[in-house]
Amino acid sequence: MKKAKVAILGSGNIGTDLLIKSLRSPYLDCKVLIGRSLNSNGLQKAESLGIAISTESIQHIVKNPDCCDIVFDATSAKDHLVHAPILKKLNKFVIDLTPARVGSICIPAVNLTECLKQNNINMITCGGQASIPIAYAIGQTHDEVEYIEVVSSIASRSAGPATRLNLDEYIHTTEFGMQHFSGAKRTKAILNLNPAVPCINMQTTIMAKVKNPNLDALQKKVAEIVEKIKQYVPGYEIILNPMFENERIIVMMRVKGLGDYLPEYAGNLDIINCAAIAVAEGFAQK
Amino acid sequence: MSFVLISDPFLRDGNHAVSHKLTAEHIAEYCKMADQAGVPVVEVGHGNGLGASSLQLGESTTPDLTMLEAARANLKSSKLGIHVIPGFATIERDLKPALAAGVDVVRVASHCSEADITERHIKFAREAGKTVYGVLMMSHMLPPALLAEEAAKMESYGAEVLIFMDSSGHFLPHDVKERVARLKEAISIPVGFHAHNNLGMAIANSVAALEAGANVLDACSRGFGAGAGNTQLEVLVAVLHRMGYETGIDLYKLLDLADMAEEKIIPKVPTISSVSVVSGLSGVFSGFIKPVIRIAKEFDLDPKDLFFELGERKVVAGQEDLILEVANDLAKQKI
Amino acid sequence: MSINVKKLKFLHQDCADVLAAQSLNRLEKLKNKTLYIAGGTGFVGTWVATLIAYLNQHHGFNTKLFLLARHPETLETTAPHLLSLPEIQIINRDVRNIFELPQEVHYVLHLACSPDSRGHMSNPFETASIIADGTKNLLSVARYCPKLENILYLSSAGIYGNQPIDLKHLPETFNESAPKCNNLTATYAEAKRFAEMLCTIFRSQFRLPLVIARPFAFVGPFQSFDRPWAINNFMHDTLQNKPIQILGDGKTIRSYLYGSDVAYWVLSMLIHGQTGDIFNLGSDQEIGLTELANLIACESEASTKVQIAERPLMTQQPSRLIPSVELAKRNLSLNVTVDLKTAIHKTLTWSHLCNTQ
Repeated sequence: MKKAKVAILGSGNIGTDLLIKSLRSPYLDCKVLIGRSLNSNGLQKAESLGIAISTESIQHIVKNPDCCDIVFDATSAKDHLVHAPILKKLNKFVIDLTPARVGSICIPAVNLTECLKQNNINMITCGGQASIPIAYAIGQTHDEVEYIEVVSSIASRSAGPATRLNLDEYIHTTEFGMQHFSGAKRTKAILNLNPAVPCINMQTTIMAKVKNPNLDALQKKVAEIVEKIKQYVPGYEIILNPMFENERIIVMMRVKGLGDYLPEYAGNLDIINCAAIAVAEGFAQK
Repeated sequence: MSFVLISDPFLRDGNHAVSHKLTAEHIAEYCKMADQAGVPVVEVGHGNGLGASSLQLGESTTPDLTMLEAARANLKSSKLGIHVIPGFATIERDLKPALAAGVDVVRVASHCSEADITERHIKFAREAGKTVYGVLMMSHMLPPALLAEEAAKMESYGAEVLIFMDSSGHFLPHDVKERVARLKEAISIPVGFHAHNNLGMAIANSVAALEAGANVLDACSRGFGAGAGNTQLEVLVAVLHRMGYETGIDLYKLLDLADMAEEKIIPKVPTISSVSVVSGLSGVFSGFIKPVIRIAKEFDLDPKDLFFELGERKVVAGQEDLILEVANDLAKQKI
Repeated sequence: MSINVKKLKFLHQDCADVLAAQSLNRLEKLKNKTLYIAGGTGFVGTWVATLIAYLNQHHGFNTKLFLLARHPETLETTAPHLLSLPEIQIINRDVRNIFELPQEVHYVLHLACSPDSRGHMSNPFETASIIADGTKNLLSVARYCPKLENILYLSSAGIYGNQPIDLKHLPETFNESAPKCNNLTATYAEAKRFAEMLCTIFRSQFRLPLVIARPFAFVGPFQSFDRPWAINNFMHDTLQNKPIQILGDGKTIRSYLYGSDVAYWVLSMLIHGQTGDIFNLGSDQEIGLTELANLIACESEASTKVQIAERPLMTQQPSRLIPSVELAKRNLSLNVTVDLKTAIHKTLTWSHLCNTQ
């Protein structure tokens, strides 16, 4: 079986974690990890694993267009806006892990097939990957969804400078994704950073106000969709099954990371990477 | 003697006590009388601040902008303040419209160790020409030196005053003195203190803060606020005047304000309940008291146990969903 | 009994003594944990590894050690007892070149540098680079250590600059010395100061759990006598049956902490220190150099004379370097358990054992 060739743009912690996940995949052949400076720990790690590295950024792909069919972009929104048109011309399948959101938003458990027909897919946000499948389930089992709210708590140590400076973008993008997939009239996203040690795993709570709550149908749909999610995010776990409390539907989930490059408590970063890999594998199997 | 700036979060922290059900009428009436009494800053909003109305924290009966408009119309010389927590409130969706509604003082707050999430909100409000305070919540959860470091970050972002909060009512006077002293060493902007009364120490702690060099204090009529309540405003002002501090506040009119508040707004004047004592001791955010009591009842648990467990887990404000999970766990253990 | 066995007995006795005098229980957090020591072949690294090996052997601690060192072969001469232990894994790399830490690490001890002041002057670039680049790199990779509980950075009393002569004990809060970065002799101290700055940054911005220890002067086995401290010179003189030469008027005041106390204190700070803590690591029992020389002369087997060398052109400023260790005593219940007389006696005995090999 021929594996799909993959290039990873961005050798920070997201890119390096993607590298390790790619190496484990039976469908992906990671050809190169691309960064900006040889000083990067990620590039050194890649070299130690026998993977080619480059410090030429997008130019590496321009100069070696045959090196890959799939490109993960784990750089920054600003950089992706530069990369996207170049990669489009080169006819690459692009999976965008930045907040740039040039292409369609993707939740593998919900709309993978449609997304594979596009050439640029955005992975929304970590909180979005955790909560939107459930928001989708609520939308599928209820005719009128007034309001869906998602609250995520992540370990303070797992929130780096980029996360902290972009809280507003995170909130708006997650809300947009929730609205898109659930049809809810209003959505709200809240992010809490918890400094407790030992570091907490990513925990997400979804609350919804619906007309005519149907818990039975919802529980079935949630179980169904969680099965799908667990195939690409093994550490995804529902810790409170859909219940009705104080006039609202509540579901709680926790994501424990795989601990590939990022620590396990950084489930928030892990889930978006797992989802990205799922998209790549879907493309590879086409 | 010196001037102490009093900031009154009755219409914000008090919203915790009524599950965020304060109405535009309440706000209009309170603001009118507070303005006449000369209260320098009146803070208005959902208990957890701008944009915090949610299922997680409780939905407010009155939308943010309606509350602000009611306040703005009735504050002539007093300043209108808001509490803003990044992660709940965004600049585009919440802060911009609030500033357009005529807010004067923007108090940007974070959990005490996470000051770096406030940079953009503080910068935005400063550039919009507003007075900006930096606020550190749950400040018992950091040692004084590290609290001072976080305060210095807020100063560097543009905060003009630094408020540290005893959100769980956990402090004793020497805790407050130590922190004010370290803050004064680390930053050059004025320092303020926000007390809660779970251990009956709100006034004493506020006075201790002043003696160590703070000159801004938060206080509410009849102490109307989360949990066991805040520093009781009219009592504090009486004490400050007797100590020789100036506040610019007319004490008689302030006492009238408190009487009106008790008669028309406050359903039950705050007292220190057993549960409040426990939440103070365990260092858990005062705003958790209502959901803890409710959820403890649902799961047939002693709320005191629930508090101590939440304290162990070092739960922070905004994590109300954790109460349900912890209750679930404790209930399972009981079986 | 072979010399190596005698040396091992010697070290074991030191370990047993310090655990009895301080507290074995307070080190229990180390049980079943993994420690990563960057700079594992120096005085502190070797002593810490020795104490841990003892805890494993005699108290079933099951603590694992990674020792990162550029020249691990030096252990063959200085501390061969560490090389054969299964729980110690040696990584032969420069701290500036590691790109990850083992996933199972709970505690990191950053000791990597060289306190030999001659090297500081002949190669200040390398001195500064190991400290600054090494610290930056180690802290960067520590961010991805999933089980990390604490990091201890071994700084230097040098960052305090000169101790004012009327200040009896230097507290950790002493903050009055200005940077001397235009002065080449300040390379080591300024690099250490910058490394502490990096520690503060990584602690605050990246939420790394981290404590700092500022070492003063030490004495004991594993200390090379060519480290240019007065106590080493004096002991070196006496071991060579030469009169002890005191350069200067002998009024300089110093203190010395013995190796086993150093090891215990470091481990205690590592596992009980709260993030952001800074501790002085040294003895508060002061001694003037003349008195020190006489003490060494007494303890040595040879009949040693003490000579104050005639240096009429040298006008000496009285100098004092004594830490306040109240913080370590109060917060961590630490004590100086080996007094200086005993420390000297032990060190001389050890030297004789080494010389007989």
